[in-house]
Amino acid sequence: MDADERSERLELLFRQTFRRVMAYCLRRTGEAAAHDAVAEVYAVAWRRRRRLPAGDEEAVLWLLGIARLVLANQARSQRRWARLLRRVAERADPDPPPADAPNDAGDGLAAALAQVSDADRELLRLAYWDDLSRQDIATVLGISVGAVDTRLHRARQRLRQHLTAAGFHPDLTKEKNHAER
Amino acid sequence: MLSDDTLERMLRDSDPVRDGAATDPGSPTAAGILARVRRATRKRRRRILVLVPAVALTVAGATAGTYAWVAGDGKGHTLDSTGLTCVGPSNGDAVMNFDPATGDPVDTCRRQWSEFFGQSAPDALTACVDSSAQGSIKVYPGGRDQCARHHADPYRGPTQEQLSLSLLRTDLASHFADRTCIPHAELRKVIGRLLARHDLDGWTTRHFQTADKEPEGPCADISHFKEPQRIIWLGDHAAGTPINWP
Repeated sequence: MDADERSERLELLFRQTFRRVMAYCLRRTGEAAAHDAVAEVYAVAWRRRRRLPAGDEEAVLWLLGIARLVLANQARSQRRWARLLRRVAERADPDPPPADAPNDAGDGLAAALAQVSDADRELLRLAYWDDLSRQDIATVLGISVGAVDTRLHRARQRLRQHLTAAGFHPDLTKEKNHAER
Repeated sequence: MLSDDTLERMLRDSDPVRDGAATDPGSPTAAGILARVRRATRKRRRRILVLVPAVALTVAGATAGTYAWVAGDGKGHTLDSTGLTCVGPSNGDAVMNFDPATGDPVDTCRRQWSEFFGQSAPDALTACVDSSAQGSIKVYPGGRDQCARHHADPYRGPTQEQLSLSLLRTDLASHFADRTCIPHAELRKVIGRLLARHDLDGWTTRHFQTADKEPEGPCADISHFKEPQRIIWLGDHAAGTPINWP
């Protein structure tokens, strides 16, 4: 394959899949880090292109699997940074008091999502943000469809418990929103 | 108690990616990312054609051409001592920062294998230098035959220059440990001082995004080290966010 052909194939793969790969990364990290991650995903994919599945959907799932590992690498670096910041903070002034408790559905859900495990959170994101089927989630995570069903059920249960424990009730939220109008 | 339907609707409504522009493959952002990918995947001379007298074929009175490859510097050293790829069993590889002065590629991959790939590491892992443009260190499952199988050479450790570069990287991260915005001029000045301290001759700094043609942003970081050309590529950094040192 000559340089022009390689370039065309890379561009085609990129254009066909960029929207979903970028969305996947943006849902899990900040904008700048997402750009870095997406660039890394396609660089890795290109080096491993012999394993690129033929079908479009399979190719996207394969790329999301790579993105998952790339983001895990990023997160590891960020954890090292966070440890350093904590050490610096211990020598600095005390933190300001925490912000007000969550007061609407979005905040309540975000807080509850932050309390579930990384594995639960990833499963919920794959199902409801990335809108992947159970089969596709199984492919990305490398587990069986049955395991996806079980883990997803438990993840929803645990998220629901966190929301309930925080006093969240959807009807109350609706009434409050109406009252504020 | 929240029903499944309500919970699912709440989750879908909370999707943070609703801006189509952010994921538009035709956007300037996407074009910039594609340009980065192209740079990263640019092909280096991968094979050289070696014509050898084929003794075995002299019966046929012929010579044959066979392919060899150039991996890294051709002596078992990587061209990118700051990174490492653990080649996974199925989906994708794990790519990570690497410090050749303190880490061993095989040990590094083995330690994190289960976290990356969800299974225990194979008994045998082998570190090779691949024949890609980057001349990267890659750790494959299996024995030393894996290197040749992947057109790679066994990794023989860092060069003296790479050890010096490692010291520079450590000093840089330590010097700017509590910073989230470093002006380009300051970063260049410190890099210059550290290059001299560690006897790294012939190295220069350049700006990655602008190719030195457009104004630089207020904050700098290091994009990557281009070891064969002895270039430290700087990039613009978003103020207030952690700096990840390569």
